[in-house]
Amino acid sequence: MGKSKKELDKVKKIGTSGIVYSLLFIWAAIQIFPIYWLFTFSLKSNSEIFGGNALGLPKEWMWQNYEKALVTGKVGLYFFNSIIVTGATILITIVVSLMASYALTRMNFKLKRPMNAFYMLGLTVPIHSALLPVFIMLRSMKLVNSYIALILPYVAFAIPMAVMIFTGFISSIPRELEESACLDGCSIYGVFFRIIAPLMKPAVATVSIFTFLQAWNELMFAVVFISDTRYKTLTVGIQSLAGQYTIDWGAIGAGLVVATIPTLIVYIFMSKKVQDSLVVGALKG
Amino acid sequence: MKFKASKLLCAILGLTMIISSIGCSGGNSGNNVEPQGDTQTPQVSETDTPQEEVELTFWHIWGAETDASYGAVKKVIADFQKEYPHIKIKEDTTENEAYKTKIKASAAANELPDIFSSWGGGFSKPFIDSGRVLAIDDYLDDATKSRMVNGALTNVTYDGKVYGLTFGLSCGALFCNKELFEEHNLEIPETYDELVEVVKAFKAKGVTPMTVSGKDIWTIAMYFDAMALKSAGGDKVTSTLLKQGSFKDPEFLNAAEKFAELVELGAFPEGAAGLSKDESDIPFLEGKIPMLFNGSWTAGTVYRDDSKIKDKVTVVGFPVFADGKGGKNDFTGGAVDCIMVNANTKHKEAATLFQQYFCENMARETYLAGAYLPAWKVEVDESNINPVTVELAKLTSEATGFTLWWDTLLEGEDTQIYLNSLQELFLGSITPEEFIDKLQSMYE
Amino acid sequence: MEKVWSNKKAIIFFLFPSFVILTLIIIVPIIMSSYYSLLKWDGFGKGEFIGLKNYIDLFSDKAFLMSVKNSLIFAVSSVFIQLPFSLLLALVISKGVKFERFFVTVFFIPVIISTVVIGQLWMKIYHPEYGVLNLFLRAVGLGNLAKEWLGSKETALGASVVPVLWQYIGYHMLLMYAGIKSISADVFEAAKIDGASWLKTSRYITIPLLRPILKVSLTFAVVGSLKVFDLVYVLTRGGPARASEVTSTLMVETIFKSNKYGYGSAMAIFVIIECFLLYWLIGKMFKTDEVV
Repeated sequence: MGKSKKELDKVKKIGTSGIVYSLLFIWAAIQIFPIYWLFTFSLKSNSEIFGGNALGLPKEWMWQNYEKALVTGKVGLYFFNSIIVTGATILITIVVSLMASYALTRMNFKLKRPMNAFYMLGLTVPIHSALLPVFIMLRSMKLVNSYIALILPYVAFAIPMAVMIFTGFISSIPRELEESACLDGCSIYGVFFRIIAPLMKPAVATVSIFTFLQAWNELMFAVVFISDTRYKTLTVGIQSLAGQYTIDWGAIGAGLVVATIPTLIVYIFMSKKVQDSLVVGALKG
Repeated sequence: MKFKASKLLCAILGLTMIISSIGCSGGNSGNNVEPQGDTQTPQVSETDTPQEEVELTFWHIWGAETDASYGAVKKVIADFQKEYPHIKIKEDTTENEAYKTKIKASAAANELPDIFSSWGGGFSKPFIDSGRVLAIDDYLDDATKSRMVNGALTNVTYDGKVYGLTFGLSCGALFCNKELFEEHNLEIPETYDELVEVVKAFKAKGVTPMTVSGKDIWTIAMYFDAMALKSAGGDKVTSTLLKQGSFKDPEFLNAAEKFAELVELGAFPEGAAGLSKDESDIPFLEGKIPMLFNGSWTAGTVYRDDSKIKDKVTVVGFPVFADGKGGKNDFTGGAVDCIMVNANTKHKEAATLFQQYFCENMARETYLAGAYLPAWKVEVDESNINPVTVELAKLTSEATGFTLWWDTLLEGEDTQIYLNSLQELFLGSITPEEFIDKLQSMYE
Repeated sequence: MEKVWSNKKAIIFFLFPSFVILTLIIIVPIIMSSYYSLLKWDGFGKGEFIGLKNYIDLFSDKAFLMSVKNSLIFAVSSVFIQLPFSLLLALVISKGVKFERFFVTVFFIPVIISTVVIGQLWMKIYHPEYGVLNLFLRAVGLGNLAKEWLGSKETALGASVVPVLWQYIGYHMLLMYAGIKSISADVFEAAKIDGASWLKTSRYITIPLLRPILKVSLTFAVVGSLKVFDLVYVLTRGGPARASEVTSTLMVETIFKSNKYGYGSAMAIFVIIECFLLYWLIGKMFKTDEVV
């Protein structure tokens, strides 16, 4: 009796896990489709993209779309600019937000609650309405047409998001860890840099991904704040492939493939960090 | 801590006041366009050019190679540099839609370049009202004016002063696939009644007669603008749009009813309301839909690489109404795309010099490229030009007048009222009478 | 410890850099927008001060009220459909399935693909003639359900909600997944020893410990929905006849097309207040039974 129940359980388990795996793979197929779509999109002409053969493989493989994107879209230079702007944005965002989040969750001061609300405010601002005011601010600081003209607003709009995530993660860390460290004579800076920062790896990886996406894909600020080819970013370069009355979507698709590859790499790299953190935690445990 | 916080708040508030006052002050306040090419560069080059070196920033929208105008702009600027080496043109290009946002924000923040491309009519009016654009009458002599075609300055003249120069002309036209008409033994329609018959005939054979994008509403407006023109005549349309008349006049209702009739007949593709222009153009370019009414630039689209209707297209004006006041040779459109000079530029002479050189030469080059009909009198060899463009040029050479597109003539807010209610009429969610009422609300 | 945590110098040190950046780029512009919202201003010349008139007009503006309602529909469907789905995915793949890395990577793909492309993809799915959805419906004999998904007033809103929800499932999944991964492994070990099933572990251990992250996710979902713009703009431009208009598409039209900068700024301030109220409400909700 007991034996057969066990067997039954086993069968059941295999059955359910079979279902779970098939569902996961079906979902995976749906989620992977956009990449396939983007890639085939980039090799088609407008008539294939907008005509009947929207989802299939290209009838005629238009590799020249890539040439158009790379040469006329000046993707090379713009790629470099995007990396500088995005890299700096991520770095600054992580450092200043992590510091702020620690103070906002753990430390005691009178204005703590209003301060939390203050950081949250940035999340609520509709970006389009901020365009002109931010432009005027940058202009008054004489920053228009520089990398900083993009880095500064990108950081500012990423901080609220980063602070929210970091505070979420910090508040789920038990206070005892810091308390015991403190007994050993650690300063507040020591607690922050030696205890908290290392525990934040999955959070830092997540915030990096989100900040990357935000900065890498941003278009409106990049169009308006930069009128000097030397500082233009990739999204602007890709957009400039669109003409007044005709848009060559295949070339735009090719530009977007080029722009998406780094995103995918950053994501794979960072999500590995998220996953690895469990192992690290267990070893320390 | 508390003290510091309040002090900081004061500082922020103070700063804001200063900034917002900058934001709202008129265009005559301090000009802050960065003088990147310093005017007082003393080291005049070894060549014995007496002129001082000047650098001009020039923003425009022709930066994509897919644009027929792309090569023309490149050539004209290169030629200018050869002829005037001391005036350096620093270009910056932005995609059409984004450019509109960019230039408005730049005007508001006083960051406009020395020279920029713009649109005549309603789009530029706020720029001019706020003193951002240089009136160029003093720089424009009669000899130059005489080289332009009639109406080249109409849409860039505000309160009797000229604020911009145009180079090309665009008009609305009915592009017809001759092959499909022949196949079904039909004649290209010249009157509205014939159009209705043609629509019915195609429909009966399972062919969708005309294409339009209901999502990019300006493409519907192309049709309606032409129908209003054929119904009311150019003068009436213009004066009504300039708020010296009334949309309640029966001619407008007539146009709206006829438009609704076409929709009712199923002249447009099923589901067109959700299609973008890229999508709705395809069946026309694949030779499945016989008619498309859109701007003259469509001539370029017809000869696009992936087009299957090259050499099969002929072009006519919108069919006339038996009960209408607009004639066969009345067209929608006009010379709209233009070049303007920043009122605050430090180099007014050089900028207007470039403006005139650019426009006159662009008129020729963009015509050669098949992008525009010329707004200046040009002599060119037409044999190498896109045949549909040449046909259009012939058609419009007999034009009795051009009536500007509504969404170009009207200012921002009114344009939106027009486009949004037209979309509703297209969907059939309002009646022609309700549509007229909505138009009339512009007068409030 | 409390003393260490009350170190004023440290507090200032930690907060200062981000505080300055936010003040310059977020707070001052908000103050400027608030000022603009009191003007009748086209964004160019001199504005005319009209007090609260823009706000009064907002509440009798049918298009605006409709857009607020539509945005709230986005928010509600995001909270009740998207987030539970993301949570389920995060829980399943973090319990140690095979191909975990593969799934984590693949499930995130829609988030990293440009919205323009995602929009084009869904336009193909919804295309009235050769769209996958209608082809499918016709193939299984439900041809009468085939619709002009993006072109009719009845379905346009729903047809825009689905892609937006779908695209960001991976976003919330990653956030929750990272949250689960930073829960100490000991907790799960203990549960395993006690013989708790995955379902029980999730219900009684993982989800309660994940509360701070769920709050973050919820906030992002709600605020993000109230500000949704890109995909809606690509799919329908807010149409037809404003059927899928959301506050952001209307605001962009008002500011950049209609040149009503003051009125558009009032909409922006409304969105800020709306988001803030909901943020506060979410905070309340999570406060009532805070574990820590």
